[in-house]
Amino acid sequence: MANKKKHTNGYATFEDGLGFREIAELLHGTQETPKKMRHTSIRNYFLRGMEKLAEPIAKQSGRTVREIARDPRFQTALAEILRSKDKNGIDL
Amino acid sequence: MVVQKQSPVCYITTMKQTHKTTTGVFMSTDLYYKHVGKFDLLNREQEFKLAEKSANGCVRSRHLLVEHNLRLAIHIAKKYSKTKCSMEDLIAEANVGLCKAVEKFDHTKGFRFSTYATWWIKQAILRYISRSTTVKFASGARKKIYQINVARRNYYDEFGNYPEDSELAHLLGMELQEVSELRCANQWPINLDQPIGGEGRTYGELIPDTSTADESEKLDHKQIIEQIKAKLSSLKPLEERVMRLRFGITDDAEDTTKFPQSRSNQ
Repeated sequence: MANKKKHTNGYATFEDGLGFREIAELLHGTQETPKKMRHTSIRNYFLRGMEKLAEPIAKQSGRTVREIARDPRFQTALAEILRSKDKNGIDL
Repeated sequence: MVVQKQSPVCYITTMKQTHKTTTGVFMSTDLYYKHVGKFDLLNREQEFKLAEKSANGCVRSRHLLVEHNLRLAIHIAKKYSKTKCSMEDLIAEANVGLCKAVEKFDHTKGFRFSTYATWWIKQAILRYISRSTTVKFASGARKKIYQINVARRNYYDEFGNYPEDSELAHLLGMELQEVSELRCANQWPINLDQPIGGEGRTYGELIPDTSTADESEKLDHKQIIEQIKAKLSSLKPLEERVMRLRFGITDDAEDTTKFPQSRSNQ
């Protein structure tokens, strides 16, 4: 753990986005999460989603899905794609 | 050589610009060398007499002093032949320095004229070389570039490969950034429209355009984005919501604006 950086565990930060703890608090009480979740659970949801989206790249690049999903560059690029998709009026 | 009644500087400058002798005949460099070789070196007494007369305003003596030392000018100019300047220009500039030395020479101090003239000739040549480059440097920067080049050569002679900029900076006691900038500025510019290879191609055609992406890369990139977009539908609602919040791209703005309130309620 000491030799690892935060982003290797999926904790890359985003300027406009929320932290995992903040998201956990925000979702608490909603229909999807009536019981408050730990921030690590939120991170797991996030990384699971990222891993699904990283599959096409993993096939081409030879890197593992897990590795790509945690890569801050991939996460930033994906955020850009999602933003552009939102601008075009297409829902996720 | 026929001596004209004009100042030595004008006389030599005319020769530089037109490649003519004072008699009006065009002269190649080889012929010029032969011509200059006709003038013998002066001994101390001859030199003293000519310098004395020259100091008293005798133009003829001044010209003779120049002519008999033209070989010295060529000798020094040859040392700078490895620069990108042509030999003719270097010799012409050396001659200008020689003329300056004749004007300034003080024979009463007892030194030989060649000792004094050498410095003026070198100064004239070095000034010309620095003027002839596209990028102008201050004399201090030029000196540092010279030191860098010498250090690189010495390093190569000793170790068989060229040193890194950081090593050069350490060796010369300079800042790394300074060494990098001076080395970058020291590059010799080339004409991009210059033809190469005899097939009508130019240097400009060989430089890749980095502003536009490679077509195949663009296609791959597009395909990946399409595949990712297709995968978006496989996300679970909670995963999607977490990702939106994490990236800060949620369109229902109340989520983030409500957040501080919701936190304070807990």
